[in-house]
Amino acid sequence: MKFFKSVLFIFLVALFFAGLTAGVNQALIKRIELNEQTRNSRDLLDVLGIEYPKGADPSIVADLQRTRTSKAKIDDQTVYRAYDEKGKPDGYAFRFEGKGFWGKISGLLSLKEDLDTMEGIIFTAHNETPGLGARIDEPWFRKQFKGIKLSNKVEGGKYITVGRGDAKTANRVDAITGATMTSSLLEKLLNEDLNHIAVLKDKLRSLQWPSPQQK
Amino acid sequence: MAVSSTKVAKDGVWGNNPVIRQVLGICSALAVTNLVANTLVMCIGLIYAQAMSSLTASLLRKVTPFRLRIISSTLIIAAYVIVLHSFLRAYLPEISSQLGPYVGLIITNCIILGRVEAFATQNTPWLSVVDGVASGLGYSLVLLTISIFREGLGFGTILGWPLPFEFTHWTIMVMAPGAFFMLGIITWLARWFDSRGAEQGAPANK
Repeated sequence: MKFFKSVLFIFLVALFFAGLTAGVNQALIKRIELNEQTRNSRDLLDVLGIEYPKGADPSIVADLQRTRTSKAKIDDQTVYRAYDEKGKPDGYAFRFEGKGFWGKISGLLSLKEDLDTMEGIIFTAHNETPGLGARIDEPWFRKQFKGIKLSNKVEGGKYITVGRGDAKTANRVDAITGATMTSSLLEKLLNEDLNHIAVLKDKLRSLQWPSPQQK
Repeated sequence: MAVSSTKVAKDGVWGNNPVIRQVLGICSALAVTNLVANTLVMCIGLIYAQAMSSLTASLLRKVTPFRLRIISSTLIIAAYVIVLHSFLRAYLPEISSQLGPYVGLIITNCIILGRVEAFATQNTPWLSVVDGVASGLGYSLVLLTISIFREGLGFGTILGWPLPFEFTHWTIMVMAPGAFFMLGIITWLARWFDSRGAEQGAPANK
């Protein structure tokens, strides 16, 4: 008797709370998904330099992604193509990832139409120390990548150095004080990814891109 | 048992403070305290989870089979924390992503299970809620103090606003050791403060 009472009790408690969490999840899931989608779209638009009003409605962001970008996959590499207002191709963006200090760092980097000049970089997920390594997210750090020319390779066949040499060194970005590990691991992973992208260059140029959807 | 709610509230916040007295909830006290804003959200989350879990456990205390109290408490706590996590992801996505796994880890925060088990299963719903909120406030008091010093010294800001004077930032305060130092210092100060009066008589908290 006692046994059945216990079973019944835990069953009812579990049922009630499972119902509660399921209900809340059901009520909020659309909003949560929309948040994530909007964040992804914003990241893509930001890295490609496509402007949208600050605090823009999710639907505006989604529309811009649909009309101004398209997506393809080459050899496991996700590549995005940007188009200007008139639908003319205007740059590429690539997903990248690699090992950071505490975990994986992943993000998007973009190149101009010449596949040589860097347009921007954005980190979509990382576990770096808040206030130290996590400062890779700050605009001053990311802005440094704009305009780097991949054809200007520096020491050791690298494309980019983080914090080595003096301010005059080509393709150099300032490292983050107190985050030596993040800075040097970032240098390593970016160079690896850029190497990978360099191999794809010819394929990228000859690829038939799906044209972006009209409004 | 005639315990007044004022006494319960005082005990939760100070006399029996969960972090510096019971030394519970240390994991999150170390992990989320390098920015005041994150700490604030974490504290509000904990107060909510503690109050709701204590309330529910107390309401169910007469029908809960003795052997099943831990398992049912855990279930209750988990459910409330999942609800909180969903709300944060839906309405505060930025802060939610900064707090990362720590909101989910409120489930395993020893303070919550500790107060539910030690207090709510033996007291009336009203007292349990008071105890829950008070313990949550006690936790928040310590965490906010730690985070104000850590963000202030480590970044030179409070809640993102720069302090009015310039100094070399103490990078170590932003990292894990800074949290250990602050927690140790605060615990020491609090106990020293309390022990001044109690030196003649029996130790206050034994």
